[in-house]
Amino acid sequence: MHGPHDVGGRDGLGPVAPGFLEPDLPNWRYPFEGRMHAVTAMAIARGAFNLDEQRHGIELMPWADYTDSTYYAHWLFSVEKLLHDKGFLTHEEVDARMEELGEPQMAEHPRKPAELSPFAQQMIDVLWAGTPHDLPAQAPPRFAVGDEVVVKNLHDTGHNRLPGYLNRSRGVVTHHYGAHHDPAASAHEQVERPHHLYVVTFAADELWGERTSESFDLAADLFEDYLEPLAVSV
Amino acid sequence: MKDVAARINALESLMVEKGLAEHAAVDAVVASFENDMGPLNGARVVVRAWTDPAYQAWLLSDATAAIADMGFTGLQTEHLVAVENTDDVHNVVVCTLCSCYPWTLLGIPPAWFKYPQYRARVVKEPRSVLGEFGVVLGPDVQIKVWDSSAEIRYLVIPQRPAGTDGMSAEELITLVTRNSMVGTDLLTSPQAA
Repeated sequence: MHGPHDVGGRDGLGPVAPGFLEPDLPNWRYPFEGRMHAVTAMAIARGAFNLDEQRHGIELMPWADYTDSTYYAHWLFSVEKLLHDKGFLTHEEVDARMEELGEPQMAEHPRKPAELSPFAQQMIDVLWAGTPHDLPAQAPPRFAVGDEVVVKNLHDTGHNRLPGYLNRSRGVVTHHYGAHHDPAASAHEQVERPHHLYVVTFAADELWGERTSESFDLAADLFEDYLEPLAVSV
Repeated sequence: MKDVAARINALESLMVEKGLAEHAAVDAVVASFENDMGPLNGARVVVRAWTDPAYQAWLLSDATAAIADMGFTGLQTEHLVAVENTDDVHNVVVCTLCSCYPWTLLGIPPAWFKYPQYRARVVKEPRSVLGEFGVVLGPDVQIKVWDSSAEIRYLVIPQRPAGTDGMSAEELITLVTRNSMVGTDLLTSPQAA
């Protein structure tokens, strides 16, 4: 879906914030950011929801809220909504707990405990093992490297990984990654469905028109169903 | 911001109660991200590519295997592609939809990578955005922008600075910046720095 997260090519957002360019700015600027990150990974490891559901949850934020809030507030919105919708907890419980706990006390840079619980050890193992998303293909690929393709004019309201600025653009397949799990099937059906994944390369003027001020190539990772062959005129 | 911190605190507390999280495990995960995952890992890959042509070829043809060979696997690092900057081509990476980034190699993405300004503009006016990072490229250098919005994560191999022939691998590693591995920095030779 082309929700508030789909910002590629949008005008009027201004320059990269100068404060963000400080090389010593920590990646987690506040202790709550790391904790939000960690509890999200845990909920996923515990099977409460999957990564695609978490991404889709962010896409469902009201536009004004998305634009007006910080990065980990987006995670909070999605994780709390998923845990609420799936019956793990309620928004009201979070309200009440917030009231009860008051001002949070969070360590700036928590230390790894000397003894890890089995769950903590499982999380560290997941961190370093990852969760691969490639799958055996169930059908031959429709496209080959060198094929000219056009991105369909897609406006699905569910989860996908198609940036809106690519709709209807013509490009060339420059790589085929084999099949990876389809993000829509994962987000909406919680199943792993193989879907061929390609790199498609576009020219800047194809994306932004002949008056574009810069010349460059843009490569995007796109799933097979987002593409169709460029019609050849006879 | 205060409300966000307080709400996340409440959420963690409830998740612990419901068996979805443990406070000490949160500490362990945060500490791992802060201390063990980060651009030093990516720099080791880059320097090995600079100093070992066979490794460089392997990295460019199968980055996932070549990087796993150095022990760097993990979340958001499962499927990797390395792209090489040269005199003629400059690569820069973005995720316009969110914040896709190889955590094991580069750590948690920096604020600029996650916020809409960079994500919106680097796919439309990369030369101008790179200028905001102090990266000025010659007019003949072709820019290639990678929108890594599926599950592939990209590592930019920056150009090795001139005048570093006699340097050891450990010395070279200190020259490689995080931003250079995303494409928003050019490495300078130690004499010029």
